[in-house]
Amino acid sequence: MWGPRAQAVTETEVIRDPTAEDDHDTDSPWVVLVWNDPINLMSYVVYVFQKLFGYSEAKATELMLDVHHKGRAAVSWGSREKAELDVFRLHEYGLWATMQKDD
Amino acid sequence: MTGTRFGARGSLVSVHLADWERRLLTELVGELRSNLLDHTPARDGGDGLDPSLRRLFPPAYLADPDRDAEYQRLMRDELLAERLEHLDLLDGTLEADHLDDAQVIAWMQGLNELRLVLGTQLDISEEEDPTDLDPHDPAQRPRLRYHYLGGLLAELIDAAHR
Repeated sequence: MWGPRAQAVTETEVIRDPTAEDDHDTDSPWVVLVWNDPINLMSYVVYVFQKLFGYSEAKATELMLDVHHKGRAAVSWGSREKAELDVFRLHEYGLWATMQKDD
Repeated sequence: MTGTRFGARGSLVSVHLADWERRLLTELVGELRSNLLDHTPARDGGDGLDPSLRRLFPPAYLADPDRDAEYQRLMRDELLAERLEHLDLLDGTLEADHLDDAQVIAWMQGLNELRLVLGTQLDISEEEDPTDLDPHDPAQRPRLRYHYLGGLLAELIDAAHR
């Protein structure tokens, strides 16, 4: 529907790239995406962004609207470990979050 | 179903639920807890997961099945444990008059999980319109409950923001 299928090509290329072998993931910048879904309340998504990432209400609202209108928004960046932790915390709140290399 | 069921009181949130609401939530939380315990195969990477629970255990890596399988292997048990823990906290405070921060978060996460599971079962879309609900039609009960939970969660978020 949106994004993921096209993204699969990019990710596969990254994995086949021999230089990617030494990515051992700690210093590669990763991005955490939150995807649109018809269930989560807008006010809930804003609340979670503020709570987890310390965004202002205005910034959290802007990100929520990006999710709603564009289908997804990038909400955090960092090492693979940090991104996995952020994805886990977003999943805990029931948001649809994924992570990928920030190309 | 109208009115303010949560209020701000200092650092606490006050709860004003009718008995039928507390009974309904007890029932729904109990069902979800059983469902999670019975239908969340650990570390299977998502296959075999009860379809209505998929939204509670989403993939972390969309385009990389191997990494996602590894992520699920490491994290699914922990996510399940977290979910059961805050469902217990929600269940244990359903009779409470006031909630502290941790309890408010457990309520939000628990109410949202109930909505995610019900919404998945109902195949809720962006076009979902609660105005065509007939409260007297027993077949509409799951949708009524879905919208009831949404209203309750919205009021709790509002109270927690104050």
